[in-house]
Amino acid sequence: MENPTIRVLLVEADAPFARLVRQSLAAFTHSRIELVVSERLGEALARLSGDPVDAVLVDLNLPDSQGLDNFRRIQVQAPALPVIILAEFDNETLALQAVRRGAQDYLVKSRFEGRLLSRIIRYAIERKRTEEALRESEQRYRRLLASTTDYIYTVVVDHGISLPATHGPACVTVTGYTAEEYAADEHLWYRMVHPDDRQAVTDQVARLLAGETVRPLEHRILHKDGCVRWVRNTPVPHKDGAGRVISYDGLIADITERKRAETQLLQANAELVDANRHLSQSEEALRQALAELRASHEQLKATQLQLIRAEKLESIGSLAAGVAHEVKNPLQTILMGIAYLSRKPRTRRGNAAIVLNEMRESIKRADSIVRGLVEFSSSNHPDVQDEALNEIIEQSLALVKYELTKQHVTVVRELAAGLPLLKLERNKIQQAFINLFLNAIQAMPEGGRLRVRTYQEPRNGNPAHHGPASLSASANARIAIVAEVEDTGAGIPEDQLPRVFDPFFTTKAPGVGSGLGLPVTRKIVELHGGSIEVASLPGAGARFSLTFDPEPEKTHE
Amino acid sequence: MNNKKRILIVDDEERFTRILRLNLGCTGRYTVRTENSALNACTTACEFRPDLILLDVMMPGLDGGEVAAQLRRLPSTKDTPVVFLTAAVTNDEIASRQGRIGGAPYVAKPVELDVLMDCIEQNLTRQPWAATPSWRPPPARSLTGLYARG
Repeated sequence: MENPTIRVLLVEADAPFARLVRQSLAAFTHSRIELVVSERLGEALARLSGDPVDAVLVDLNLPDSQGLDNFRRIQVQAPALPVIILAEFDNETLALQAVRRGAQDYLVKSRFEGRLLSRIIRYAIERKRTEEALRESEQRYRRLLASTTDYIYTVVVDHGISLPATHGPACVTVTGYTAEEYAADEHLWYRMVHPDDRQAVTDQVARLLAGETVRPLEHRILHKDGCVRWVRNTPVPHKDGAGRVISYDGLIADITERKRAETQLLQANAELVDANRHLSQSEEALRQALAELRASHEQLKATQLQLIRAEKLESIGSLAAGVAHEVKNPLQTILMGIAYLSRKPRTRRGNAAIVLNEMRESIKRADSIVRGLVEFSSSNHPDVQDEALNEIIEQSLALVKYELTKQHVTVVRELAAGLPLLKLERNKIQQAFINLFLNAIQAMPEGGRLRVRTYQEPRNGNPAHHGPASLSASANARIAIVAEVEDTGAGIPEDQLPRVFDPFFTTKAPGVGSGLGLPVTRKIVELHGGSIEVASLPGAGARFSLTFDPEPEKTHE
Repeated sequence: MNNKKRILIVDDEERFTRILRLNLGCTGRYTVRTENSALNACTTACEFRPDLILLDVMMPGLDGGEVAAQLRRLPSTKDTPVVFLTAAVTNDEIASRQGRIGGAPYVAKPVELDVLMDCIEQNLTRQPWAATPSWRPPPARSLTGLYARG
């Protein structure tokens, strides 16, 4: 088999010597050696970058560079190339220095011999290749070592006692300690185990030596650099024919990253659970806030409506007052006119008298409507004093005595004694009761029974049947005073019940009633902080219930 | 000697003053004069020397309260009784104040002639600006009695 051509770069300023080398190589080599010559180092370096060669022969004495520097610069330029140094003199120290720095050989020019040179070159090339392969292998090994997270240790057991373990080389990667360090210190492995996990590790060894099958153990170690790392220790026992453990191999795997990930996962999970809990709490809070917001909104809407109503009432109030004034003056004139005409002998009797009387009544009716309008639209707060409700009712009944008698209405009084005094404006409340009484009387054209009842009851509850004296003064705040006005008339149809308090809603014939009696009554009651309700069954009469809040700590004697 | 009481009616409603004058005049008990301008009220009063003045409250130019204050400052009218006659208040309001508002007797329009004459008679005999506890305006019921089921 033919040897391949070897290209050699000779860096030599001495031309005759270069020629000699060329001739020698041509004569004594079996394989073809192609020689290229550079006389200066700079030129050689330039050539090396573009013209591949298999080896370099370099003289230490060059015009542009001297000594071992020549070699060094070539080595920097082409680290993988075998370099052989040519020197004028045999200098052992220099030669050794050159070889230590990576030169393949050191030849003294005076001892130059063609055959030898050929061999030296080929050997140098071969050696360099081997070196490169070794270096490559070493690097690969280092890379592997650096990336490995597992190592194996072996423990020989002699009569049940563990002998010092031998650790695989990768132990340095996992633990930071070399196999040699473990070998030199037989307790190093134990100290390496995290103090909190040492018991678990020795327990595992004990069970193993006792012949039990042990599961891999995950524990912490203290790395040589001081940090804590997690490993999984998987021991595999070797037993003799009798079943005794004679040795065991252990695989140590670095699981720090996995543990860290696990911890992070657990933490993340806990955070998630926490966040979830917070979320549901926030959701609940949000729901509550929303409900409150809705309630506020409703309240706001109600207030707004009230405001609008109040504003409307105020403007209606001033309008009504103005209208009342303007209407009452002409009414007064007509009334005076009627009075004048009534005095004349011709109009004192007969149809003229009837006509004048109708006119007089119409004026009164017009006046009552105008007055009702003013009262209904007025938002003036009542001028209240401590009043006994029963007294006001009696006075109001006295004022409608004529109508009661005329319509054959009997009065049934069920007025509770000892009711607390109420803050009322007497005239206004009287007016409210008179309105209700007249209303009831008009509902009973054939006569009937007017039942007036007062009592106190727990707020939002049933009537208190026990004696009023049993109620302490402080309990007044929790009771309400109720007055009921009930007739035995035709009652109010159910569909009309909600409208009876509307202004100008009337079930009476045209010309009867102002349509403002009940609205004014409700207005008066509400201005006193009370409320009014109506209940009716067709054919069974109607009942109006007025509810007032008593003033605490005041009782009517 | 004329024993008729002299009544001055001060009100911007001409129709009303005219008919009231007729009504009061035909009783034969009063000599009546009317004044429809509040601004001229004092001059007319000084000239007419009434025994009683019926005074409207809401009038253009000068309200009844101002007119009354001026009358009290004039020597010739300072002792003349004044009865306010107005549509601006209701009988209820007057009744709740014993017939007086601001110390003066009031009658609410519309008022029946006999009621008004009762009031005039009572105030003719009283000391000016003194309380008249015996006189009360008619109770509210005469008008509220017309309210019906609403």
